[in-house]
Amino acid sequence: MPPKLVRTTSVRLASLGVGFALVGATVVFAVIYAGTLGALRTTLDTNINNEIAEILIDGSRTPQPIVLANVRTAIAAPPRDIFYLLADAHGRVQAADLSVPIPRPGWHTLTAAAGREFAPHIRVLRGRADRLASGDVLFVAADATMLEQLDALIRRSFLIGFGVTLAIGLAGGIGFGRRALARVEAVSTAGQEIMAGDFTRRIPLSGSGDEFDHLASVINAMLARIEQLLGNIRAVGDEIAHDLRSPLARLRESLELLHRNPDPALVPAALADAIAQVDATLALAAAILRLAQIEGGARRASFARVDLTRLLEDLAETYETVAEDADVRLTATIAPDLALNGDAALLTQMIANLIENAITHGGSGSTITVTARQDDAVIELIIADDGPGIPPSRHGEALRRFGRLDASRATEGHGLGLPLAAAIATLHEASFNLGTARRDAARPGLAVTIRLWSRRPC
Amino acid sequence: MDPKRGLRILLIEDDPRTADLVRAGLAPEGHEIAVAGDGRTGLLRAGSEAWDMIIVDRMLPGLDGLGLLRMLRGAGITTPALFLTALGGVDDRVDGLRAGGDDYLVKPFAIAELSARIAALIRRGAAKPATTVLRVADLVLDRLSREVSRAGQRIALKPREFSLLEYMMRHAGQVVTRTMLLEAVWDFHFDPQTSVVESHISRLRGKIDRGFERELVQTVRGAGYRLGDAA
Repeated sequence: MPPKLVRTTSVRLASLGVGFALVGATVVFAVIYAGTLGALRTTLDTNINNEIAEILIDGSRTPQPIVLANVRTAIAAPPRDIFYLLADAHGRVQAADLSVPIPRPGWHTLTAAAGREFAPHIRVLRGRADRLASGDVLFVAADATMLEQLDALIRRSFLIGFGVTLAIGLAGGIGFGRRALARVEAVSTAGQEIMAGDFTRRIPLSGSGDEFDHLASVINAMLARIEQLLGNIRAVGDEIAHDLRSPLARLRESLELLHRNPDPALVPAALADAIAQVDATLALAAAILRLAQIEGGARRASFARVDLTRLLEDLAETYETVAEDADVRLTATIAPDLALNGDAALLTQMIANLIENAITHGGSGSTITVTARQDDAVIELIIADDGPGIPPSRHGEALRRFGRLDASRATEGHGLGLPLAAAIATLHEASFNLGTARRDAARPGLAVTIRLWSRRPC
Repeated sequence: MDPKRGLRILLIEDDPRTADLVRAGLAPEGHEIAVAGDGRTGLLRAGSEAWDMIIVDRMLPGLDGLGLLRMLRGAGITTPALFLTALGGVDDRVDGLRAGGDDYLVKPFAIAELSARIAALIRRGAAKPATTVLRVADLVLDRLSREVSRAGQRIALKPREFSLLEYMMRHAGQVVTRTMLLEAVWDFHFDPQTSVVESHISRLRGKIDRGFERELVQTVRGAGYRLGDAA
């Protein structure tokens, strides 16, 4: 199921951004609001306070007739932007140029309405009411229309700004979210199709080189590798099935024969044959597992100093005897004091495999040469024969698992000798190359050249 | 210890089929096989009873073979121990020997192989301090001077042939299998595709048996080779 838009990262990030912007705007608004309106109000209040001070010359104890006289004078004097109301203790208005209910003592902001009558151009008044010692109430107010208009203006500006920020932020977030969602959907669709079995499917790139393209190209590379590995596994699976089928088929034949003709005299031989077929199958399985483990590289932990000269001399001596029985000549030229860091058991197997390969494929009457020498930090090991060799165009095939080149599979062996040797070389960070050993076109021979590090570069 | 006497062997193995096969296979030799089905029982029995030999599967429920053997060795119990392991483990052999195992056998194995290895381990456990000169019938091998002679006649052997003969003389009268020879003489822990052992045995035969009436190197069908007078 595709993710909901509101849950996409883009929308969440946009919301967060908008949220921060709004908090910032609120702070700015608060500062502006307090700065402008606060200053205006203070001026207004100061004027009112001054006016009250002029009327109440002796504070709240100023005698009532003086207060009344002062109020009347003030009402009569221009300019007309300050307004007055004087009421006695019973609420009767003594003098006034505005009509409002008698206010309680303290600051008031009054808007024009029924029961409140101001001068025509005035919509809002702000004023202070004082109760005098005589019980009279004096209310002095100034025109606060400007103040109220400014207040409304600032509030409106803020609300518009607020709304626009919110709208643009969220719209942007949703837009980006949609776009990201579409890209993710593309990846997701490709993923579904790949899971459904189409391993050639790739994620489309937008060409913008953005992080989605980067991610998609990494995933595509991964998919290519997986496709290749799957291809290998399929090929190896076919090969294993083929190789296992031969001994199993022979096993079945012998058992069937025995079943039809249970001659007690034949049983021991037939059983021995059956066990031999099973052993061949198991040997193949063991070789496959071993190759997998070596390719996994798990053995590097058990590396130690290996005396390669000694190892090669022992192997040469052993295989001289084996080769002689196969009518093959083996000569070895091994430099003294060759040593490297490695796994002695695996190096033994690698060299043994290569020599055995040469004995098996070189054929009767051939000659095998084993040469090992050191040049600076590199040990060069060459195992060459003068047999039919492998055409250079098929060297790659020979190194693949089961890349046995005679299609008939008549030759002994499981076809894992060269790949196993190559895997062991790779484990030792050595190069492993196949080449021809001689100029003779009829019998070019095969030369396997391995270059090992005597001292590993650090 | 008399190898002809039946041995008391503790088999720690959770697969009843393998256990039955081992029991049935070793019965003709007169060995008494007790089976423990999991690691804890195995450890308990291995530590509390006297055994000539312990055979332990590496993969066990409860306590694995390596841990079990490490604990036994830690407790000072030195009974010879042979590991059984699943197919194809490259590092398993080294791990097993490090944990205190004396030998190592990959499943599935031939009973003849197991039997030969048990005999070799028991013999090794009872071996006298290494002697310089080995003798089998009229064959003499001097490990220091690296000289071999039969009935007083010097025989020249190549280094591998010498190691092969030395190993077979140390196990004189016992069956030694092809795999045992590959591991002990060649240090090969893989299955060679050519007849490495057969070629060398044939060379050795040619040198020590040719011209003598009694053949000392005998082939044991389906198992391996034995050095000594024909049984």
